[in-house]
Amino acid sequence: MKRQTGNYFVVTLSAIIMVLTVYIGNSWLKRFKVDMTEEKLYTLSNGSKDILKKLNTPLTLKLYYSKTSANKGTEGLRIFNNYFFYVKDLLEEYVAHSRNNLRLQVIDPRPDTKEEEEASTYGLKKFQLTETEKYFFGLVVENNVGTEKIIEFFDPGQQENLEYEVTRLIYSVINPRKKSVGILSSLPILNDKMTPYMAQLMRMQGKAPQESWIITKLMQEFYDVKNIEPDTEKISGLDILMIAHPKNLSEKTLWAIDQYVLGGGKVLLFVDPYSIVDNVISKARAGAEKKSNLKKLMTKWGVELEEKKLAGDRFLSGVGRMNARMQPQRLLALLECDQRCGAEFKDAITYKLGSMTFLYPGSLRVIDKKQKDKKIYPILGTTNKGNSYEFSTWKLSDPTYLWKNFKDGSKPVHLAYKIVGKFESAFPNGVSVKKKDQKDKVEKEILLTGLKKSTKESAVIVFSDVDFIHDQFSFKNSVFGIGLANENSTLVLNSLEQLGGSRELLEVRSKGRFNRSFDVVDKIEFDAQKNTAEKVSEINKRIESFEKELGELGRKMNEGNIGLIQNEGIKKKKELTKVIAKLKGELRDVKREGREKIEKLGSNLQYLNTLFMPSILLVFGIFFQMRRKKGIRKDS
Amino acid sequence: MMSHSVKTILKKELKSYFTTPLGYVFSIIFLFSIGYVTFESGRGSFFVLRQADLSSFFRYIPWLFLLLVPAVSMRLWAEERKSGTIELLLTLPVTVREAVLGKFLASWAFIGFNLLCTFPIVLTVAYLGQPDYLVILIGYLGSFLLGGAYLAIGCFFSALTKNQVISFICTVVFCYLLTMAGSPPILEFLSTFLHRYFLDLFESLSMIHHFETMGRGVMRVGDLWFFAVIILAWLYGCEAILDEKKAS
Amino acid sequence: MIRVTELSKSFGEIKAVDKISFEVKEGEVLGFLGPNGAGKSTTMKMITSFISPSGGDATVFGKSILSEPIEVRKKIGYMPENAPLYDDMTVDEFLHYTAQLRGLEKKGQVKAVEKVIEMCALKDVQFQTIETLSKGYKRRTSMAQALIHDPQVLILDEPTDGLDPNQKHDVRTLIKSLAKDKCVILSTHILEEVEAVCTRAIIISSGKKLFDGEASELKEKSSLGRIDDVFRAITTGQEVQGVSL
Repeated sequence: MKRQTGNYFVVTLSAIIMVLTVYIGNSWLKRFKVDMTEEKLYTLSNGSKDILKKLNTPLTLKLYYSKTSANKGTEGLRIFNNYFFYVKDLLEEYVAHSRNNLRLQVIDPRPDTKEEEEASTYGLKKFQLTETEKYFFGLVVENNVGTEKIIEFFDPGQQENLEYEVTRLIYSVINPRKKSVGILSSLPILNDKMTPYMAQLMRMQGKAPQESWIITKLMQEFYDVKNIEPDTEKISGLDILMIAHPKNLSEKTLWAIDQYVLGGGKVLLFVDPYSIVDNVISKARAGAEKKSNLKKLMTKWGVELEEKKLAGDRFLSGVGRMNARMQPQRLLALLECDQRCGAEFKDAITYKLGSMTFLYPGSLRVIDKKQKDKKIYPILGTTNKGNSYEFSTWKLSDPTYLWKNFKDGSKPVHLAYKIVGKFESAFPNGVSVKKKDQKDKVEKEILLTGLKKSTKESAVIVFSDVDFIHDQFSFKNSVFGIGLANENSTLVLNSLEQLGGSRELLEVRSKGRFNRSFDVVDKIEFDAQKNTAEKVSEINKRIESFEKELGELGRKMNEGNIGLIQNEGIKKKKELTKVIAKLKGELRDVKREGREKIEKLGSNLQYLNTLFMPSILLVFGIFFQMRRKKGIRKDS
Repeated sequence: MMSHSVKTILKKELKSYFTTPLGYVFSIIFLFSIGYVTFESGRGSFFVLRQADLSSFFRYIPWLFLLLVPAVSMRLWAEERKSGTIELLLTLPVTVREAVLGKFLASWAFIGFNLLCTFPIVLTVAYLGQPDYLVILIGYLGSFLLGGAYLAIGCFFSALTKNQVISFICTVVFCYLLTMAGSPPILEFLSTFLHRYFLDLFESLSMIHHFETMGRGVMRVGDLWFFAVIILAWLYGCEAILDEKKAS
Repeated sequence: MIRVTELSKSFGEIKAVDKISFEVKEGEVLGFLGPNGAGKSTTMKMITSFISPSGGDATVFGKSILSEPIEVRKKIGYMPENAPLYDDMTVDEFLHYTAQLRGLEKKGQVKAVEKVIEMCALKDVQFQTIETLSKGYKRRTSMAQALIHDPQVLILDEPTDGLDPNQKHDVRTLIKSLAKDKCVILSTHILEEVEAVCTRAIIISSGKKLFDGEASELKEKSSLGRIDDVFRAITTGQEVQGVSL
């Protein structure tokens, strides 16, 4: 008896040890893992890790997820349940890299509790599942002095950008100040001298007031925006310098920009080999340059705008008309970028942006392959079929010529780059400027010297078009007021946001979602659609020709043969109805064929997976059983 | 590495799956059902999702295993005990540990064989699209480990009783509890009488959670550790039970 | 040689075996007699280390069942009661399996299997599955597995139970032929078997040893020469006519 009790004691003890080992091992070993997903879904990028390293105040991450409610909900919530685990895993990854500065709380807010009220107060999105059950799935990041930022709802469709969103959120809690942006432009992007009152006054006088571009109004919501004089020798006190369409900048200004960047300043640059907006605005000054470049500095940054070349892509070209007399047609000049343009580069700036419109964009190239102290990331490009083409101004007015002479390329032409790192000065020997001495009031040559190399890491984002930020190509007027025409403005704001964040934030990349669709099925569907389209056009052709015939008959009609013609008309119509009915039948057949093909493929595969192996095993099983039953001696 | 006796027992036991109808019945039911549920017309169905991965396949593995693995494990010891052959086995120069290990490994290998027999589904996704083979591999590894964990639990209950039905039911119930350890209804039930800390402890035992991370293609040392501990602990329990029976 | 010292086993409150001691030397065939439930099987299971004793010890050629059970088992060939076998194996497979577990070399296995098949006359059923065999063949298969490694000690739990007279005769002949250089313990409740095969007999009842001596000695105790009477007298403790203990 004693022995028995002893044994049971051992068993109980080992059960407890087992549970504890599992629990402890689980929480300790959680960090060690091999992330085999192609997307590296469970691994933080270096940018996020660097931001976490810099954390020196404790932050609390409150992940609100109505787990209990979700389990009472429909099957559809399962996908959210799964996503929740992913979000939680990723947040735990953050905690693991935060040197104990992050604390993660997972909160399941039940109805009518303090937690639920808090979730609502924070402004998290709330979905009513049933009368009592509410559903929350959001994140609050809080520091100990009461700054809080939220992600109001986690959308499983946004999984790729999750890491960027969370890192940005953490970053914004640490750095809550509103950033300042300076605009240096040859175009009247920001008219900060014009007060609304003055604009009103001008309108009343019948003059068109020069208003700021709408994009700046959007920017003002998030940033302090001001103009930078185009002739300056020092730029300071800015978080971001936005240079749009720089033309004929003086050496002094270039020097100022150069020194600004070397000192760690961030630049958002728009250069353009051919600007439509400029064309329109500077019409008065005929023969003025429509192109802009910043070659001297960009060379040092490691990229260049190809001279006298534009980027084109037949597969991205939009439909439009050059002027009122022309038929709408596909224009090489109108580049309508979709998800394909950014997906490949997996950068949070362009990732998932589905509609961006560019006009006569230029082609950017990396010239400094070594990239010792800096990294150059392409962030936007054409498809593989894109190419750059030479242009002269007179050819641009003939879209058909351009279209005909364009040759498809074999790799994407890049439209934008992000450059992060340290640079060398374009003015290693300084620059001499003429300056009026304050005392003598005589102009003197003075040599300005400054930094020869970057002291701090900096970042530059370059786009090869400036037109796309203009009102006309990024916003539209509707009955509801001014709205977004496309995602051009989002592109600008994304760029500013990344530049405004730390360098680390710039290096957080989107986690791609790999396309794993059924290629075979897609092909069948594609073929079926093609056949359907053919049938539809055939039907339309028939109807068209019938109408023609009917018209001809009508012309032949006179008093004498009116009855005959009518009869013939009716006969023809009957024939046509028959033909159309037949064609429609065929159309249905084509559609059905496609569908049936897929269904058949599906059921064939199902048979393969359900019956193939079992039947093989069955045959083998019966065979071996028979052999054994007979007691056949095996050969050995 | 493996002792001679373990190997011998493993071979004999494994062979018995192919010389008796039971092994075939199990395999056929398993392979048919997993194929069927993967393609089953529902919202999570393979052909509706149209993603060239095996998520809809792996999703059902725990549930099929939950019913089928105990059917494999129930006879391991209960049958030996009932027919008396255990007396034969354990008077041969074989330790209890070797016998437990040999039998467990054999049935685990049999589960592995069944998983291998699902290869048409891999061919299917390879034909339909471009799957991530590494993720699939880890998914299979996860399934194999899950099967091993269920088996180890089954071994324990099989050693506990002569009656195969009781062994089966106990295994199913226990596996279900461990599988669903992280599920809210069970946690809610337990929270009525367990302290929060124990609840966390219990939740960490959730098999499906560890299985699902592997199904997504992440190999965490923690998950491997979890399965290793579960398997070894229950096998140790099985050995202890057999020793206990010997003494009483 | 087997030495059993004060071996005891209790199941809960019941003492199945109570401090039994005896010795078996090489060349001896020890008959283990006793009514059903006397503790014969339990004693044998303890010697084969299938179950562990609650007290006492037994050694087989100097190896203790408590400290070196695996060594003990290596020396013993054991035929359990009712001859349990793996029904789904063929005789050949089964014998190879046990040979392998006995640690015989590949070549040795084949030889050993051939030898025991001949010894136990299993040639006709060598490749049949065990479930299809008759009771007699099953017994012989079980016997064959006990002999496969040519053990120094043979422990047989009711080897002739349920066999027809011819089969019984065959088994007894086999045991006798084997007995020369081995220790054999066999349990039985058939008394003529003791007379026929055993050199020595032990009678136990309710876990206690009641008699230990030559089989012929047992017979001499009855004036009528009936072992049955002696057995009854010893195990029940009643007066039986013509028996003087």
